[in-house]
Order: sequence, then C-alpha cells, then structure tokens
Amino acid sequence: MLSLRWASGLCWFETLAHHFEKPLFSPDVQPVLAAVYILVAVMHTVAELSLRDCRQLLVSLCFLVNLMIEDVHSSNSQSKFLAKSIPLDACTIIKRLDLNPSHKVFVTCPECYACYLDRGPDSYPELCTSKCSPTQQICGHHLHKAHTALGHQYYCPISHFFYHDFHEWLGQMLCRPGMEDMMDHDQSPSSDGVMEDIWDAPGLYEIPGADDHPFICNCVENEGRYIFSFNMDGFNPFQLKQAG
Amino acid sequence: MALYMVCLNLPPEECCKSENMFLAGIIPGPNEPSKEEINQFFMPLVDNLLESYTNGVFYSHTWKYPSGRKTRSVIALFICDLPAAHQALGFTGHQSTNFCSYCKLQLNDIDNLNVGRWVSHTCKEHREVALKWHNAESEAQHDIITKKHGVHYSEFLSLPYVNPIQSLCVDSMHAFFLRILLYHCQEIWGMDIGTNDGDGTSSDPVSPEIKLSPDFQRAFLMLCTGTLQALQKFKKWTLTNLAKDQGLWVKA
Repeated sequence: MLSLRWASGLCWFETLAHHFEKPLFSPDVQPVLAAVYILVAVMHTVAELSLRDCRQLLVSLCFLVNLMIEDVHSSNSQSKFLAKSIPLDACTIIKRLDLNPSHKVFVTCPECYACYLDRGPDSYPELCTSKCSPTQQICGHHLHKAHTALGHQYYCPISHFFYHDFHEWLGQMLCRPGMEDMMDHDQSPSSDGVMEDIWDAPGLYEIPGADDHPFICNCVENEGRYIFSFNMDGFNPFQLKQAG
Repeated sequence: MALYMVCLNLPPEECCKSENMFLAGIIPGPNEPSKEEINQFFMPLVDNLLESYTNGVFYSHTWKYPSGRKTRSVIALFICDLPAAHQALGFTGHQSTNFCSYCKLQLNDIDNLNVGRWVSHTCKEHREVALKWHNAESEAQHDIITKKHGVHYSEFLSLPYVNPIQSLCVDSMHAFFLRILLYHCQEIWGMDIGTNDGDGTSSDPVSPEIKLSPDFQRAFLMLCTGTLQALQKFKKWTLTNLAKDQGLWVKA
C-alpha cells in the first residue's frame, strides 16, 4: 500500500489504484490457473484451511492437471507451462491476488505492554525502555528470546501486536461496489419522537466537526462523513479451557 | 483481547457482517493489560482517527468517484461490556470506590436510589482530571488521583470530540443474550413476580457490606439449618443485623 502525505500538508492521501487491478485478467493467466487461484484463495480465507493444508491441496491440483494433460495427449508447450505455473505455496496466491491487509507490526513488552514498531531485527531495543511516569524506573524486560534451529541461534520477539491500518481498510471498503451507496445515504433524526434506529438518537448529530459545523451535515459536497462505534472484548482462543 | 469498529452509517443488517467490520488488532495474551497499559494499543488507531477528523483522508479512486474523494471518520460510541468500556475511557473498574461512569456515587452509597441526589460526572471535569493524571510525575500521584476521582488517562481523550460520559454503552450481547439485565433484576435487586416487595421505593434495612460479611453469612446459614444453641454463640451485633434483615423489630 502506497501512502503519502500531500505536499501542501493538508490531508492524508491514499492511493487505491491497486484495488482496481485485476490480476487474473492478464493474458498470461489461463482459465485453469485462475480457477486454481480462486479455489485456493477461497479455501484459505473463507473456509479457513491452513497454509499447510493449502499446500497439500495445491500439490493435488497440480497432479490432477498433469493427469488431465496426459489424458488428452496435449503435450504442447502451453499445457506444460500451465502445469509448471501452478504455485505450490498458497502465500504466492494470496500475495498475487493482494488479499493481505496492510498492517503495522509492533513488538510488545510481555511485562508492561509497551509497543515498539518492528521494522526488522535491530529496529527495537533488546530490553524494554518504557516507564509509566518520569520518576519511575524503566521496565527492562527482555523483548526477544533466542531460538536455535539447524545449529543457528537467532532471536525473535516474544510478543507481537498487528495493527490493521484504518485508512487502508476504509479505502478498501469504498472500492467495493455498492458500499458507498449504503454508507452515504442521508441521515436525519426521527421527527415523530419514536426511535427505531441509532440514527434517531440526537447524540450523533451533536458531535462537533473540525470546521465549526456539526460533524453530520451536508455542507461539503461528496465528502464522506462516517460514524463508527468502538468495541473491545476479551476472548479465549482455546474456547472454554483453563489453558487460554 | 480484540479491538474492532463497526460503521454505523451502514444499515443494521449490513454493519455487523464480518466483511464490513474493522478489526484494528488483537492484543496478545495470555494476560490482559491492566488499566492504562492498554493505551499503548490504542495509539496507532487514535493517530489515524485524529488525522481523519482534523484534516480528512483523500482517496485517489473509489467505486463511485473515479477521480477521488475526501472522507472524515469519528468514533461516536463505545459499545463494550463494563470492564472493557471503563478501561477504554479511563474510568476505574466497576467494583472500585468510584464505580459509576455517569455519577459520582461511591460504593458505600450504592444503595442510594434517590436519583435526585446522584451528582453527574461532566466531560470537562473528566478530561481535566485525566490530563492531570497524564502529567503527574510519579506513580504515587497517579494512585492519589485515581483513588480520589476514579479516573486515569485514556488515549481516546486525544480525540477532541469524544465525550466519555455520554458515549459509553453496554452492548446488547452482554445485556440481553448473556443475561446481565436478567441477573441484575433477579439476583441483585431480588425482583420476582411472586414476591410482594412493594413499589421499589424502600431498600434493604441491612447494608450489603454487612450482609456479605463472613459472620453474617455464617449466622444466616445457622438460622436456616442449625440449632438455637449454635445461633446463640454469635455476637449480639451480628444477631441484631440478622433480625433486622428478617424484618423483625429490634429494641435498642
């Protein structure tokens, strides 16, 4: 995701052109390959098939395509190219279809939950340098731990926090067909005093805007004014078990 | 712990679909961050929202506007269960001395049902105290402010439009589906269709602190299941409260 600030410094600018690209419509993508891409992407993102199982699926599909080619005795170069062009790793498909959201990665301190932006192995301190108040001692907890694999020792962060970029997410919403029609319809409070929807509550119309007008107003043409609710709750990834 | 947002501009049947919700992040476990520690995780989101509110975000190309358009976004409501909502907006827990986010009633006065005597919190006051907490230089000063006012700093107060008193809502999942409202009415207030408990203007003669004390609990158990001799061994003070609780008149 390419994001840059306008030269005038007025407002944040996000380019969304990549959301309108059609990676499967390029001439070098054959229909069979496109079908494999869509099948694996759906299995991974919607049916929650793990990347490891997706690999198994891709190997099977590749085998199937090879069998098909042999069956119809089509040993031309295009068919051979097709069999070779099926990737064996679902990550390649996810990347090519641009399905991963844009996110920032933070290394978090397991003791005091301080966050450090993770730009690579040396971009954050070895020990936590945060303190709650100016007179308090620094936390000093280890932020990474050593792992040994194939005789090599390497360090990786103990705990991570992934932040999904809000601007990018909203941009992605606005690129989906029909979303703007649903989000931009005129809102007004109920006139008969009967409240049936959250938009009948006067509170939403009292939020002040940055430009001295109420936030919800039709004073700026084509400007999207969106109201969100914030939600937060704890959950146990291991469901109702003591382990979580 | 998951942080997510729902766009209220979408119609109700669309806004809570998973493809239309914004998952900002998941705070790593196994424990939950305490009080103000959670602010660290709000920072990137608040930065985005502040930018979106003050200057707006210009998108180069959208479905309806191929030549681009500007948007602004705000958070109007905090819809969580009470512990999470209090933590997000800088209030102390719902079991602390300053347990309420709407009024200044203290825990020892929780039985006060006279609405006219509930002094409301104000947004201005909350922000002032939270800022004082933020600028305090030591942990001890933090504790003093938190103990006195029941407030700590929340990153969401950097957003100038957030009104922590009015924007806190209890979510319908906990209130109705997980039966908090039912539990509160039946178990805590003791409301029951079969009980002749008047119009609700009177309260229990014995305060909840006394009723929850181990001595009182043991004496109550003895009254229900034990013998008179065993009951007589309790202190006079406990027995007096037990009698008051049972609706008996006690001579001073």
